Amino acid sequence: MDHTLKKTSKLTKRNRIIAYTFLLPNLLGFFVFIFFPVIASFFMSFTSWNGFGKIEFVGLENFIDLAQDKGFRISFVNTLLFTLISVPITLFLAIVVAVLLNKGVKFIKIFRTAVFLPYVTAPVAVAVVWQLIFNPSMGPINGFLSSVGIDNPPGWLSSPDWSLISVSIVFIWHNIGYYMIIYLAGLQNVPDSLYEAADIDGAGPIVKFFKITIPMLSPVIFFTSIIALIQSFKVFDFVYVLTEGGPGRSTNVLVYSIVNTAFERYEYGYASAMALILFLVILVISYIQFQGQKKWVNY
Amino acid sequence: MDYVTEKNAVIEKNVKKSRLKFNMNKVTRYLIIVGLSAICVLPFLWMLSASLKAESEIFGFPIQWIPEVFYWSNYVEVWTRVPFHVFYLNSFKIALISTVLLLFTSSLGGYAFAKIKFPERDKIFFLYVATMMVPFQVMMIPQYMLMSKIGLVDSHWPIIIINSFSAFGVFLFRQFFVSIPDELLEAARIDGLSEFGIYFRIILPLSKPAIATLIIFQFMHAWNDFLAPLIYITSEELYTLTLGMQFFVYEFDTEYSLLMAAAVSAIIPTIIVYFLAQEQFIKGVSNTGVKG
Amino acid sequence: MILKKIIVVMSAIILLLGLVAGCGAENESGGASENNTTTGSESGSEGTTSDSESQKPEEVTIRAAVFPGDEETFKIAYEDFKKQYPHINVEIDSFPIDKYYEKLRLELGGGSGYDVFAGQIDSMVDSDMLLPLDDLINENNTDVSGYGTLYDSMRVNGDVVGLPYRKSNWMMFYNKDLFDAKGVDYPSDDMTWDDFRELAKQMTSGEGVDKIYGAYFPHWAQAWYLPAVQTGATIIDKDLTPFKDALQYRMDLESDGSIMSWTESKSTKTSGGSYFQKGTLAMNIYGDWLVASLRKAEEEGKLSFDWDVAPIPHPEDVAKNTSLALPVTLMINKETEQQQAAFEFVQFMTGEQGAEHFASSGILTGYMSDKVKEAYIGDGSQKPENIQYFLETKEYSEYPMLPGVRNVIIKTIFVPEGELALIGQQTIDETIEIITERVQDEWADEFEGLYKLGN
Repeated sequence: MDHTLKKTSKLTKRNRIIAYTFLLPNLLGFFVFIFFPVIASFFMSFTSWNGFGKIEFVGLENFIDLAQDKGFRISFVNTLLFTLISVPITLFLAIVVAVLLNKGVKFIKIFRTAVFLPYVTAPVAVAVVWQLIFNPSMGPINGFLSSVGIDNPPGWLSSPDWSLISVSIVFIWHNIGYYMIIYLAGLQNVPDSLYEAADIDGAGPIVKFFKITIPMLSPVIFFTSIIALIQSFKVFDFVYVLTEGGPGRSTNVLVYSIVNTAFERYEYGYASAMALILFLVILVISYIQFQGQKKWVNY
Repeated sequence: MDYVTEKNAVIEKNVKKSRLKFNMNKVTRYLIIVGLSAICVLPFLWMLSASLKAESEIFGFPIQWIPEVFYWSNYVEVWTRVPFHVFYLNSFKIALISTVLLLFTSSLGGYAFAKIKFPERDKIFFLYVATMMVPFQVMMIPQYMLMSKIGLVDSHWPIIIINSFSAFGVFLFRQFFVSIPDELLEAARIDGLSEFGIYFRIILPLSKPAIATLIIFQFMHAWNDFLAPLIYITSEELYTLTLGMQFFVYEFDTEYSLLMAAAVSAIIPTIIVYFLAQEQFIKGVSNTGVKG
Repeated sequence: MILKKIIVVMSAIILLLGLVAGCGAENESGGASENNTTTGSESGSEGTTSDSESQKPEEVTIRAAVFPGDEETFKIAYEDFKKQYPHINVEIDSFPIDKYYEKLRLELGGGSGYDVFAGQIDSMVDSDMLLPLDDLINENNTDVSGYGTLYDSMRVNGDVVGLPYRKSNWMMFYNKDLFDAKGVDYPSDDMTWDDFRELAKQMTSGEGVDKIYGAYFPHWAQAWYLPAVQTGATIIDKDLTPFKDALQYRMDLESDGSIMSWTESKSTKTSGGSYFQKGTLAMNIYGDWLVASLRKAEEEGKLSFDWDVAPIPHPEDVAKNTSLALPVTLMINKETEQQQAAFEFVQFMTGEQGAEHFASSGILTGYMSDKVKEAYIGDGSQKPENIQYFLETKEYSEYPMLPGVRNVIIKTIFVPEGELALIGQQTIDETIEIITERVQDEWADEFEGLYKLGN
């Protein structure tokens, strides 16, 4: 008994040394240049700092103000809605595309590049094109809709009811290629023999998709679901180039608000408090995912 | 419906219309692929076509995809009016160095998190992932002050540094390494391979798709990054492409044909990197040991 | 295997790049020794404030940050400055205009900052980094008469914190060819907004690609609230009733179809500057800096029509040639070690000699004198013919230059709420009511009273 304990602790010690040796190059830079600034910005959320001079500690004042801030509530709800719309759709479409483009298709490289192109293209350039496409009076989408007899086509980016959905569409379109790549990489590790066995059993493509592909990809799906969640909670670029938060405040998402507060209003402390809330929300959701992964992720 | 009955049902169907269904499947599959690709490519084609048009022809419905006259002069103007080649070189340097560094640091880190058991493992890993949840715009100010104290401001180093230690890379590698069976490692340990040997000789060769993925992402990320170059670089000779283009926007006051010519020029390297790395997916398949 | 090769090649290239470019770190502050060649022999000829020069001053280097659009003029004027102050080297930098203050404030806050910087006072005053200039102005016997009434608007909480080099006033630009083609008289210098509306309708024609708009207003809140401010109202008033008419006016023009709608202008990222240059716009309500770009376009042979300027229209009971302006100033970092040198630079650039340079490029300057006026009007060889109007403009400030007014009130309240009205989601009464409420909640409760304009 005693002997095994000693052995494990010795092993632990050895593993620790090895682990930290492996981690060292990254951990060092990470702590100094990433982790430390993050902690510093959290600290700022308890101050009324404006980016200059002395730092005045204000306790929980920023958080109390946030609780009553209507603008913050609006952007918070917008962010949640945006995430609910964009994350599931993006991930689902990406996995479907990855499976379709995994193998057995002619010109596969060209198709993959095509799907990846939106991700490469700079948001500014993309924004112009989508604004034309979404143009309520002259754009091709509404042109098509009215030609099939829809009298009152949506106003897309210029309607407060549709603007968030429109931004989500562009966001999804832009990101499918990104997740496709990750899934494609994951699919390379799924042994062909599994599919061959299923073929012998006569399983169709849908059965194979749900019974083989999804379980085998689960570590990667877990990874992408966290990344996608973080990405959509932190959405900023597309809002900035497509709508600037408008019309009204209909697409004013959290990070847009944060950036505004920090760099337009110069209330850096308050902006940090908003970021801390954002962080906690993502953290809680990811934590639930981390706990939940034990049930569905297949290592 | 359990798996067996489901299976039987499928078999039955397959027998009935086997040949026909096979073709239908293939046709729908291609239809979906072609449709999706078209949606994805169209805006890019628009950019390409706008970059070759005269300014007055750009906006207008219906969209005229092929310009009546090709204005190659837009490209000439872009490349001569701003020192584009200098910006190109700067962006290339930053993207390249940070990609290689990140590949090195994060594959090592990912290995520790995936394959070595040590007590604080999950906590530190969670810390990594947690930092990804903070918007860059918020940590940017303390980070800037830090870089400023060290005296790195107005050089390429701050950008290279913050790109070389991203939590994303560690997370990505960890997830891929985890799916490599432990038995392979155990066998190697019994054969007397050191931990580093396992990482280098066994794990890395098996992770080509993951490496290729990270190369694509990191290169692109660094290449397209705008905010970090903006805050860290002041001297014009150090500008990256994205930063240089921002001046462009000002100087040409939304002259879209020129802006599009610049944008098209800017994305070509990333497409090339994508193409090269993509090759790796395909190569990777035939080499990996885990394949059945 | 290919991957390995890629990595090897990459590493090799990195090594090379590292050697060639040296990562740029070493050229951080090499500027000081570069400009050693002194050409100061002629400095006495036109120097008006030469007290400080007699003691053979030491060579110093200061850094200045300016708007990207003004960088060129500053650099030209700097060559002149150098002749007079050979011992002062100035490194002039600029940043993308969208992110100008973001970057500037980061640099200043990070301590690696600038000695002198350009900008609007309200965007910097809360930083507590501005050097009060009163003492320096007294010591140097600076002539401030040329700034006129603008001088007093440079005071915040009693201190002068900047000197203006530009006024950025609003003007109307019109395309003479379009008026000629229609046989319509050119816009007069005394138009009411109602006259303007009729004229805009008259000048509008065509559809789709051939569309010619009678007029254009940028998609900025200032462009719709401008008529209200012409009557003397300000956007921080407790009673914003005048703004109802202003908003209604823009909506009327939009429904006439004689201006591009807010939504379309915003979504096509149209800029009044380049749009006017296409020649499909009759009248453009825009800022004075367009003069310089139009001249430049003309020089490059890019302009295919004749153009001129006129004062912007005015409300019924307001005098003609009443406009809005927004002074752009040079400020000094209070932590600079080179106060005197920095001040010499500011004094030069905002004073008569700097103003002459700006004026001759078509910019209406903060400092005015006969010489500057002459430079502004030119010798008649340059367009626009009627530029002299702007020497007599009565100006209201676009907004009160207090912290948060531009960034909170305009950007986060007037723009989105006005937008809702313009797309028909909110009535005008509702809009102004919400704006009034939000200005109180989000600005007045926090900023009001902290800073005071004037003495």
